[in-house]
Amino acid sequence: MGIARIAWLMLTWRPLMRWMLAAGALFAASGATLVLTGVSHSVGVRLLVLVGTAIGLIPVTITGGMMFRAASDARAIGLAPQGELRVLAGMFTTLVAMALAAALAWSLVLGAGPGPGFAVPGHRIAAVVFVDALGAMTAFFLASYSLTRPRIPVLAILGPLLAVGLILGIEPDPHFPRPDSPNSEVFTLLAATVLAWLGFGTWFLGRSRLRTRAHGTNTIPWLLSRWVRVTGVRPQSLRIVLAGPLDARMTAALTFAACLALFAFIEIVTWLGGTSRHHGGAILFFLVVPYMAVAAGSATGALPGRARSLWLLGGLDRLGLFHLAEASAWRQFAASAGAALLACVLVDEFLLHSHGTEIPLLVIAGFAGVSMFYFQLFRTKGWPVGDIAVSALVCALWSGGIGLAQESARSPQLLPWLAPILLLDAALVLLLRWRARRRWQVIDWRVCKRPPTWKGWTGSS
Amino acid sequence: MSQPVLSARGLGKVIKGRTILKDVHVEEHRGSVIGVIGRNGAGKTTLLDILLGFSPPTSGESRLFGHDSLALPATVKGRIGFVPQQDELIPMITGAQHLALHSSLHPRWNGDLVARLARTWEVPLDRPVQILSVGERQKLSSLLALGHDPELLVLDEPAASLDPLARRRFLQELLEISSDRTRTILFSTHIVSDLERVADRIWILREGALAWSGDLDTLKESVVRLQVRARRALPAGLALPHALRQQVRETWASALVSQWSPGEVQDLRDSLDAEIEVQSLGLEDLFVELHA
Repeated sequence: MGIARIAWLMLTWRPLMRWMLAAGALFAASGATLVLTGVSHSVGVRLLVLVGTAIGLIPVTITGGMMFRAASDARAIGLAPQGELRVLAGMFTTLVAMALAAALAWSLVLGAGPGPGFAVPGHRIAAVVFVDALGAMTAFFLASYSLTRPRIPVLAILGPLLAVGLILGIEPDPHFPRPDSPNSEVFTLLAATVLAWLGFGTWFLGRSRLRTRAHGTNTIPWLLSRWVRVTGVRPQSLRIVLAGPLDARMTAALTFAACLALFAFIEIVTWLGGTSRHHGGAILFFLVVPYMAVAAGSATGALPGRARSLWLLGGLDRLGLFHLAEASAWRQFAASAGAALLACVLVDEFLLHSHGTEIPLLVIAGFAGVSMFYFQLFRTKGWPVGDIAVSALVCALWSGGIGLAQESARSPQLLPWLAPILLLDAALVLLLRWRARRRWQVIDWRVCKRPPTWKGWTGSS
Repeated sequence: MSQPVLSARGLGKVIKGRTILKDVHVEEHRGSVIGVIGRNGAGKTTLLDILLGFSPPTSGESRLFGHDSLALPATVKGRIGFVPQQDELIPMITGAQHLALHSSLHPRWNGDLVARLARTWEVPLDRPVQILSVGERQKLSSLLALGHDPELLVLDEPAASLDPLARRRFLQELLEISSDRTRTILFSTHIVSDLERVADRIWILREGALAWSGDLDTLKESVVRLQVRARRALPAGLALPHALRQQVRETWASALVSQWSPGEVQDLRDSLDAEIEVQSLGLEDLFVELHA
C-alpha cells in the first residue's frame, strides 16, 4: 500500500473523521476563497479559515496514535515487504500534511490583506507555524500511542525531548504562534521533533528484535491488578462489571500521583530549559486540569456498551442500568476531578502562589467534565449527524470556556463572560441527561456495542 | 403442552437499512438442545441477541418463559445463562475473582458444579484474565454462565476457539447437563459435527430467514437428494414435487426434496420412465445443499 494511501486512510479512518475533515475543508476553502479573491478580509472570514483547519486537524491529532497502533499491530503489516516502514512513513506524512495545512491557514490569515497582522514575512509565519504544529501533533501522537499500551522505556526516552518541545512550543501566550519568536526556540522545537521521530522510528522498527519473550501482559495493568480487591458484595460487583475494578479511592490516588508527577516532571524540565518556575505551573493548569476533567468524563463512554453485561447478570432493567451508570460516572468523576483539584491547590499554595487566579479555569473544567460524561452516556446510537453536532457544541463550550478562563487570569474584565458559558454548560447537562435517560430505555446493544478497549487496561475486552 | 421456554413470531431486524433478520418464527420447549447454524452474517448472533432482549426487533416479538424479551423480570433473568461470542471478562482480575463477582450477583450458586467443571475443563482460576488464552477465556465464560444452574443456557459459538479435545469435553459436559431434560440449551455454531453430536433440534438460518427449524432426525429423514436418470429427455419446465432446489439437464436431474414419500417417488418413476435414486445426506451435505 502506498504511503499517500496510508496517509489518506489515517485521515479518513472513522466516519466521524471523514465528516470533520469534509466540514473543515469546506469552511477553510470558503474562507480562503473569500480572502484570496479579495471579496472580504474581515475577522469573521479569517476565523472561518482557522476554524475549518482546526476541525480537520483535531481528529487525527487526538486519535493518531491509536489509529497507528491499530494499523501497525496487524501481523500482515509485519509480514509485508517494508510494511511497518511504510505505515510509519504514512503516519509521518499525515502529520506533515496537517502541519502544512495549519501553516498555510495561519500565513493566509495573518499575511493577507489589511488588518492586524505581524510585521514579519509570510514565509517566516508559515515556517514557525509548521514547526509548532508538527511538534505539537507529534507530542499528541506519541502520547496517544503510548496510552494504548504503556511502554515506560519509550516514554523515558521521548518524554524529555517532547517536554522541551512543548514548553518552548505551546507557551500559553496570547500571541501564539509567535512568528517573531527567536530562531533558537524554533530550531530547538524542530530538533526535538526530529529526534522524537528518529527515536520512535528506531524503536518501532526494531521492536520485534528487542522483544526477548512473548508478552502476555502489560506492565501497568499487571501492577494495578495487584491492588484490585473483589469482595463478592453485590453493589460492588455490579459496579466492577460495569465500570472496571479500580475503585474510587484508587482512581483518586492514581490521579493525584499522576498530577504531582507530571508537575514535578515539568518543573525539572523547565528548570533544565532555563525558563521560569511559574511557566511550568501554568502549563500544569493549562493542559492537565482541563484534560483531567475531560478524560474523567470521557471514561464514561464505555458504560453504555458495557451495561449489556448486566442486562441478564444484574437483573436490572434498562432504566436501572442508566441510574447505575450515572452513579458510577459521578463517583469516578468526583474521584479523579477531586484529586486533580487537590493537586492543583497544593501546587498553587506551596509553589506557584497565583492567589486564586486559576479558580475560574477549575470551575469551567469541572462543568466541561460533567457535560462530557453526560454526552458519553447520551451516545448510544453510534455517530448519527445530530450527535456529531452535539459533540461539536460540547467541544466548543469546553475549548471556548477554557480559553476564556485562561485569559481571565490576565484580564479580569473577561470574568463576567464566563457566566453565560457556565449557564450554557448547565443547560446542556440537563438536556443531555434527559435525552440519555430516554435513549437508555430503548438501548439496542446490536448498535451500541462494547468498545474495543485496549488489551489489558482496566476495561473489559 | 407446557408453556414454551422461548418463542418468536415474525421477528425482523433492520440495522442502518440492512435487513439482518426477516420473519423468523420459532417455538421451543423445555429440555431441547437447539443448534443454530448458518453462514457468516446469516443473523445467528442477532437472533440470539433479540431473543435475550439485548436488541429490540424491528418487527415481531420474542418471549422467554412467557415474558417479553425486552422486559424480562429479574426472576426470569436469573433462570438464563449466556455465553457471548466475544467474552465480556474483565482483564485485570482472575478467574476466581470472576467467580466471586458472579456468585454475588445470583441468589443461588452451584459451587460444587463450578469446581467440578473448572477441574474437568482445566480452567486456570488463579491467573488474571489478560494472560489467559482465548480458549481458556471461553471456558471461563462458560463456567460463569453455568454457575447458577440456568434453566435456559444460550451459547453463541461456545466452542469456536477450543482445541478438539477441549471441545469434545465441553460438549460432553453440555450433554450431561441437558440429560435430565429440565434444561434447554440454545447454541450457535459453525461446526456441523458439534451440532450433530449434541443437538436434537436445529434452526438453519439463510440470509436472515429461517430455512429450516425442527428435529435434527426429521431433517435428515425428510430431506433427501433425488438423482433422476430418464431413458428419454425430461420435459422442459419439469418441477419435481417438494423440491427445495433442482437441476435438470436433458435426461438427468438432481433435486433436494423435503417431505418426500416412497409412494411419490414410485409415481415419479412411472411418470418420467426413469431410474430414481434416493440419497440420504449428512448434516454437512444438507447445509451445503441448502446454501448452494
